[in-house]
Amino acid sequence: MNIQSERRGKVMVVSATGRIDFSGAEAFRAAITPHLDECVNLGSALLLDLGGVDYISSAGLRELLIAAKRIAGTRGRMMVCRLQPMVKEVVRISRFDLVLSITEEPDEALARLESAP
Amino acid sequence: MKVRFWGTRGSLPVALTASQIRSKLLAALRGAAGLDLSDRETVEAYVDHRLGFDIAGTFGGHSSCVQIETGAAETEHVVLDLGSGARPLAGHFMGRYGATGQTYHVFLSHVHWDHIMGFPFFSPAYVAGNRIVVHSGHADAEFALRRQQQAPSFPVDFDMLAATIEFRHHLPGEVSEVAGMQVRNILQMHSGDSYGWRFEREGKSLVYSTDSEHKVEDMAMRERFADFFRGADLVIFDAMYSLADAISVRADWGHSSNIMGVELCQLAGARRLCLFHHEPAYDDTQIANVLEETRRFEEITREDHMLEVLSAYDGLEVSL
Repeated sequence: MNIQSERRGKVMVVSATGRIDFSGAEAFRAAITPHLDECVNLGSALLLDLGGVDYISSAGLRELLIAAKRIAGTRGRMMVCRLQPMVKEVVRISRFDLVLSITEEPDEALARLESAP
Repeated sequence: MKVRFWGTRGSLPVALTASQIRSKLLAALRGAAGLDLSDRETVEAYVDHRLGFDIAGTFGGHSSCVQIETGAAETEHVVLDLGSGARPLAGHFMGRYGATGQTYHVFLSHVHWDHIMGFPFFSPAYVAGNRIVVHSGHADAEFALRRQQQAPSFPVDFDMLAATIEFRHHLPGEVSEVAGMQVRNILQMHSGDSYGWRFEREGKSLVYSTDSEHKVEDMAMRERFADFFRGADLVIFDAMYSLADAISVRADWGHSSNIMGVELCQLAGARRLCLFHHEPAYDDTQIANVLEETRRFEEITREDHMLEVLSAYDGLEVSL
């Protein structure tokens, strides 16, 4: 699990690569928590770019849900983008597509997050 | 060992509505357009092989009740839970084995109403000469069965039942020999507790694990259940909710998901997963979709071990 981050205007972009399976979920949480804290403290938006994630398990999905809930609790916004086909299928089958804001393209996500009040 | 399902629906029995049957008929007739269905064999082939199970059949609506044919003693029978499916099962028992002289071993997951509501209609209980042994992880199983037959809830009091009825309390992990099988149970997360059961006979193993919530983040719980499911030929699993619902809006409701069922069975190296305790609000098409999606999830997450995925329906038989 590798995490990189950069600020793009009002949006913190966090890019993950690797597997977010049961053991990787903990590392994923540890890696995104500082960025999540920053977004919560600043009331800014978070974009999770999962283009480099080739596997996600229930434990990984739970981490996405926790992050989304934390951000929503501060009236911030979180979006997820660039899901690989396998990850996209898992998200659909688990019905996480109904609880996460997902887009294909990072630019579209950034535009939506930037324009959010 | 053979497993036969008599009730597979979660929480509450349901029945097909006129509107749902009409939808099935319309779909079947639309699908037949242009086909020559002039003889019986062709019609049967169309129904049996061209139509999906959700159109040609139904997953049924009885609440939890499963029979194990152990292949051991002819007069000893094994039943898992006494949901509304226990009523047609009772008719099957009486018709096939006669009214009396039988022993029925009943294993309860827990004593919530949908898992015991069939007992007042379990006709062998009314016949002298039958013996019913209720196996439970709950010390208050007898109280629960007696209470549901008290006035004003039911016209026949428990004490009027003519069969000999015994209660046997099982502690988690304790191995017992019942009806030619090794049996043990596991404590599960559910309101008021529930218990999963593992049955083994002649190298075959069955796990019945319903009304059980699994916390995604709880590694110890995951390992404990993987051990319990280890190498099972069939795992009957509570897959009532989607994963998203199970860990968000329906967290702590005491049920699990198809995704968790696959992950646990993969970890345990189980051979077959049977989705069970279907959401009562789902129609046949929705349950069929869950099955297809679960098979796909198993396929895309498979490593070196293939897991066969089934969906329980009232009337399904699985030979181990």
